[in-house]
Amino acid sequence: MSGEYIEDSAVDVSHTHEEKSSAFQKLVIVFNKVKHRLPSRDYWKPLFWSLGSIILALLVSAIMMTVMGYDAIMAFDYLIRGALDQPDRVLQYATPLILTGLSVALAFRCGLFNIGPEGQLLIGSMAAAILGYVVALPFLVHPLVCIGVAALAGGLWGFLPGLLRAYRGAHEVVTTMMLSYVAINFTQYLAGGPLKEQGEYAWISQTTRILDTSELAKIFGPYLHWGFAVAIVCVIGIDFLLKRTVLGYEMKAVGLNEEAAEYAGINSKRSMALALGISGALAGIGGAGEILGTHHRFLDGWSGGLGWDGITVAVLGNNSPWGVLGAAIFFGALRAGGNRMHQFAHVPIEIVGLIQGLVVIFVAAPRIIDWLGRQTIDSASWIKREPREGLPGIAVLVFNLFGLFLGIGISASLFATNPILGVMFSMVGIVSGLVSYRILSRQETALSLSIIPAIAWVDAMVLDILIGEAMFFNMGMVMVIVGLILSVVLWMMQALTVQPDGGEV
Amino acid sequence: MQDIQTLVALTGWLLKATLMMSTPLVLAALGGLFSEKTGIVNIGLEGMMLIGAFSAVAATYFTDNPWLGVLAAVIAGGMLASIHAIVCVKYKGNQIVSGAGIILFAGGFTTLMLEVVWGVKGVSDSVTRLPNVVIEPISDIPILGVALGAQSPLVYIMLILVVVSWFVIYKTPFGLRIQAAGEDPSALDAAGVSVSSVRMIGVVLSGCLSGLGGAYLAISYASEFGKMMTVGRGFIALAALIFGNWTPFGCLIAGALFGFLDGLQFAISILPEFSFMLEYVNFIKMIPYVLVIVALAGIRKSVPPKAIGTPYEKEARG
Amino acid sequence: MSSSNKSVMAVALIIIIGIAGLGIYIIAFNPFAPPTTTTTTTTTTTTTTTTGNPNPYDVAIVFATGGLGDKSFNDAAYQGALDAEDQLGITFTYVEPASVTEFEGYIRDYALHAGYDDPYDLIICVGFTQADALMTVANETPTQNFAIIDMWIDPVVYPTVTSLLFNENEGAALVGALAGLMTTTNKVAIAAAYQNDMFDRFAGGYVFGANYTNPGIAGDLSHAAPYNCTVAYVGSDWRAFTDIPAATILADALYNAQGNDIVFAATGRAGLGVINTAKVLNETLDHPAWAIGVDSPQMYLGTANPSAPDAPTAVITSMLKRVDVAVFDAIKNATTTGHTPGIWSGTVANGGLDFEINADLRVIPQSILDEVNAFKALIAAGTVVVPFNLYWI
Repeated sequence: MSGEYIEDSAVDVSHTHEEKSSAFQKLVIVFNKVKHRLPSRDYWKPLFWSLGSIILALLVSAIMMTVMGYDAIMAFDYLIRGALDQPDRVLQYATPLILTGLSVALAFRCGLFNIGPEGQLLIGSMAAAILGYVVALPFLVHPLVCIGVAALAGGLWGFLPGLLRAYRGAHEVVTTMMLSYVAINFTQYLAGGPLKEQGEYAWISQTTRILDTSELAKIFGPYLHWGFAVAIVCVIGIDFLLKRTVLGYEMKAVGLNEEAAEYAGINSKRSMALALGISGALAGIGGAGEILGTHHRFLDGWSGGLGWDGITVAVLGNNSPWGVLGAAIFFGALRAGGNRMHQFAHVPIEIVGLIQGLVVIFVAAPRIIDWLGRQTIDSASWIKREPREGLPGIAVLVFNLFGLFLGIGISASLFATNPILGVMFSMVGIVSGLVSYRILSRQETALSLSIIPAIAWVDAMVLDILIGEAMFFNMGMVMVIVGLILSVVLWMMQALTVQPDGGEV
Repeated sequence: MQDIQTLVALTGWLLKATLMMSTPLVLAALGGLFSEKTGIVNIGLEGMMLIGAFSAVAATYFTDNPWLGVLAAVIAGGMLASIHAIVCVKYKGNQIVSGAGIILFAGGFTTLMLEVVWGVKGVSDSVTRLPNVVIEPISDIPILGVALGAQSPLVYIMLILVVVSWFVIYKTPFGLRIQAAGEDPSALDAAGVSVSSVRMIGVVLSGCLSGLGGAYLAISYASEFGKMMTVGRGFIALAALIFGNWTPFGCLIAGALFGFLDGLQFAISILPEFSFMLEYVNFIKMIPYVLVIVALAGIRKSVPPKAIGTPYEKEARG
Repeated sequence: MSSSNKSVMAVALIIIIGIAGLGIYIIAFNPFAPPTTTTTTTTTTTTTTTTGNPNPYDVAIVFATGGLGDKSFNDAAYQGALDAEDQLGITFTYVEPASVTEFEGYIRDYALHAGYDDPYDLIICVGFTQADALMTVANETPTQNFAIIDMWIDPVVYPTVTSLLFNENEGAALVGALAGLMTTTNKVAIAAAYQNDMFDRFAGGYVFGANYTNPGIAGDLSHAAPYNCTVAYVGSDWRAFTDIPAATILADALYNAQGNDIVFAATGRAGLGVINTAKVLNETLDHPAWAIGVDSPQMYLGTANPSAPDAPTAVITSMLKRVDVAVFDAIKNATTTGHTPGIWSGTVANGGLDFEINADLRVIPQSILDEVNAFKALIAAGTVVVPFNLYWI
C-alpha cells in the first residue's frame, strides 16, 4: 500500500503550512494521495484523445451548424439541458450502446474488428422476441431465459465469422458485415412473413407482443429498464474476463501479436473464434434488453443503427470496458439531448449523427489531436518565453478565429437575401482565417498584419449599414472595436520594444 | 404468341435493369479497387456515394446542367475521400474506424444539407436528369436493343471505365506503383517513390469513382436526392470488389450479378405467375452477401493485396 | 517544498474551476430558480398562474418518418394544421422523428408537456406506424387527447384517441375509373408500396373502378392480380415508401416490358420514381406513359419543370386523400366543441377523398369526366359499394 507515502506528505504539508485551516490541509493530503495513486501519463493519453476528439467534433459541428444557418448556441443549450433533465432517457439510450460497444471492444482486444454487431443485435433481439411470446415461464426466469437465448443466437452469429477467420482466413471485417446484412434481411423476412402479428394491426411488420412475464421492469422513470443493470454486469464481467482470467489474457496476447502468442503456446484460433463468439453474444444481449425492456416486440427497423453506433462507442471508449460505459453514456446523452433539441429548437436530429461521425474520424487519427495538443503547448511556451509577443499573439489569434467563425456564419445566412454582403462577410472570414494561420505557423509578420482584419471589419460594417440595413450592427461593432483596440495596442507595444534596441528593424 | 413477345420484352428489360442496377455498384467497386490496391481499406464507399449523390443533385439544382452535377459529385466524393486519405495515410489512423466515421458523417451531413438547401427532410426537389443516349444502330435489335439501345451515358462511361481501370492498373507505370503500394510498400519506398502520395491518389480516386456512382443514382437513375438513398449499395459494392477478387473485370462481373439479382426482384413483382415469391424477396436480397461469405470461406481463394490495412511507417535510415 | 506548493496550487485551482463551473451552470440553466414573476411580467397579466412557463401551443403533431417536405402525407397534415392556425387562431408545434423508435419518446414528451406547465389540447400522430407508441402513452396519460391518422384504435379501450381513417378504396376506384376510360392499350397497373391491408384497399378499389368503366380490363380469377390490371409492389415493408430508385425501375418494367400505359403510383413519396419514369418514357414509347398521383395534387410533378408547371403533364390525375381536412376537423373539434373520440372516416361522400382535375395542365375529355363524376355520385350515394380488397370477383 502507499500508506507510507501518505504519512510522508501529510507531515510535509502540516509542517510548512501550519497557518492554513485543517480542512484545506486534509484536502491537499487527499489530493496528493489521489495524485500518486493515478497511473502514469501514458495511461491518460487515450482519455485525452477521446476528450479532444469530442471537443473538436463539437466545435466543427457548431461551425457547420452556424454555416447552415442554425442557431448553434441555442441548439447546444437545449442539447445540454435535454441531457441533464432526463437521466433515465440518457441511460436507456446508453444501454444497448454499452453492449454493442463492449462487443466491438472485446473483439478488438483480440485483434479482430467486429463491424457486424448490428446483425448480431437483430438476431439476438429476434430470438428474445420469439421466446418472449411463445414460451410461458414464471417472472424473473422468463426474461433471463430470453436474454440467455438471445446471447446464444447473437453468439452464433459472431462465432461463425470467428471460425471462418480462424480456420479459413476469411477477413472478419467482411464476413461480419455481410452476415450483418443477412441478419437484417432474415429478421425482416421473419417479422413481415411467418411471424407477423395477425389481426387488426396486420399491416405493420412486427411480431406479437411479448408476454408480461418476460418484460423487464422499469428501474425509474418511463424509460430506464433493468436491461441497464444487465449491461453494467456485462461491463464488470468483461473487465474481469480481460484482467483476471486466462482466456482474457490469451485473447489480449493474440491481439497484440498473433505469431508470438502462438509461439508461446496459446491456441490463437480458439481465442479468436471465442472472442468473436462472446462479442456476438454481447450484441445479442443488447438487442434482447431493448426488446424486453422498451419495444416489447420485434418491430421492423427498430434498431436504427445501434450496431453501427457500437463501433463509435468502442472507438471512443478506447476499447476498454469502462471507457465503453462512459462513451455509451455520452452518446446516450447526445441522443436524449438531441431529441429535446429537435423538439424545441427544430434543429434536425441528424446533427447528432454528424457529431458522431466527426468524433469517430478524429478518434481514428489520434495524431490530429496530438498535433493540436502540441500546438497548445507550443503556444503556452511561446507566452512563457516571449510574453510580449506571445500574449498579444494569442489574443489576436482568438480574435481572428472568432472572426473567421462569425464571418463565414454571417455570410452563409446572408447569401440568399443579399449576395454582395454575403461575399463581403465571407471575405472577412477568409482574411481572419489567413491571419490566424500565419500566427499559428509563427510568422513574424503576423502580428503587424493584425490591422487588416480590423479594417476588413470596418469595411464590412460600412457596407452593412449602407445596403444591409445594419442587420449585424451590434456584433459587427464589437468586432470592429476589439479589432481596432488590439491593433493599436500591438502597434504601441512594437513601437516600445523596437526603440530601445536601436533601429534593428 | 403473346407470351413469347412478353418473354422477349421481359428478357430485354431484365438485361437493361441489370445494367442500370449494376452501374453504381461497379463504379463504387472500381473506386474501392483503386483504394485497396494501394493498401488502404475503404469501407466508407457508402458515404462517398451518398455525398456524390447529394452534390450531383445540389449542383444540378443550382446550375440546371446535369453534367456539372456529375462533376460536382466527382469532386465531392474525392474531397470526402481525401479526409479518409489524410486520416489514414498522413496521420496513420485506423482505416476501418475512419471509414465508419466517413459513413456516419456523410449520412448526417447530407440529410442536414437536404434540410438546409430545400427545407425538406426526406426528398429534394426534382432536377434535370442526364439525358439518355440513344444508339440508333443497335436500338432495333430485339433484346440487345432494349438493354443497350437507350441508356444513361454513365452506363457507357462505367463500361469504358472498367477497361480503363484495367489498363491503368496493369499496363502503366502508375498502375505498377499502385500495386506495389499495396503489395510491398517498402520496395516502392526503396525505389524512391513516395508511398504516401501513391496511396493518397488511390484513395482520392476511389472517392471520385464512388461519387460518380452516387451521381448515377441521383441524377440519372432517379432525379432527386433522397435521405440515405444509397441504402447499403456501398457495402454491396464492397462485396462485389471482394467477390470479383480485386480485379476490374471481376468487379464488373460481380456487380452485374448483384445488379441482376436486384432487377430480378422487380421481375418477380410484376409477373403474377411468380407473385408467390414476393414473400421471399428478402432471401433474394441476401444472395450477394451469402455468396461473398461462401467465397471467402474457401470455395474460391480470394487474394487481397498483401499490405492492406497496415499504415506504412517509413523506416528510419541510419 | 515546491511539490507541496504545487499541490496546494492545484487544489486551489480545482476548487476555483469547480466553483466557477457551478456558477456558470447555475447562471446559465438556473435549475433552482424559484417560480418568480419578476421577469415574466407580461405573462402574469395574461395568465394568473405563478409558475412561469405556460404552454404556448394548443396542438402538437408528431409526423411520420418521412418528415416535412414529402409533398404528400406529412405536408398534407401540416397544411391542415396551418389552415387551423389561420382560421381558428390556434398555435401548434411539431417534431419530425427520424426513425420508428423515436415515436414513443416524442409522444410521451408531448403528453407529459415537458418544458411547459399545461398540457396540449390535442396530440396528432401522423401515420399508422405510431399506433403502438401511441397506445403505450395513452395508457400512461388518461386525460390527454390524441388523434391518429390512418390507423384504427379501439375507442372503448382508449377513450381519448380519435382514429382518422380513409376509405382509400373509394378514392382508388375514382382514379381507376378514369384510368379505365383513358387507357389506349387496355393495360393499366398500380404500383403499391407493399402488400398489406391498406394497399389491398387501394388495389381493390383501383381494379374495381377500371373494370366498372372499362369491362375490357377484366380480372383473371385465379390470381389476386387481374391479368391486364397488374398489381405490383415496390418493396416488402415500409422502406418502400421512400425507395425512389426501386419505384423507378419497377415503373420502367410496367411501362416498357409489360406495355401498361397508366400506372397508379400508390407508394407515398417513392411515387416520384414512377412519375419521372413516365415523363422520360413518354418521349420514346409508342404508347403513352401516364401516371396517377396519390394523396396530394401531384399533376404538376409530371410537367417538364415542376417549379413552373406548364402543360402537358404525364400525370393525368391524382387520388386526393384529404389528410388536411381530417387534421383540420380534429383540431377544430378538440379546441372548440370538444374532443370526440372514436372514428372519423374520410369518404367520397364527405369530401375526404377525391380526384384531381387540373385543366391548365391536361384537358380531359368532358365525356370521360362526366362518366367518372356519375360514378362518383353513385359511390357517394352508396349505390355502388367499392370492395375493400382484391378478392372482389
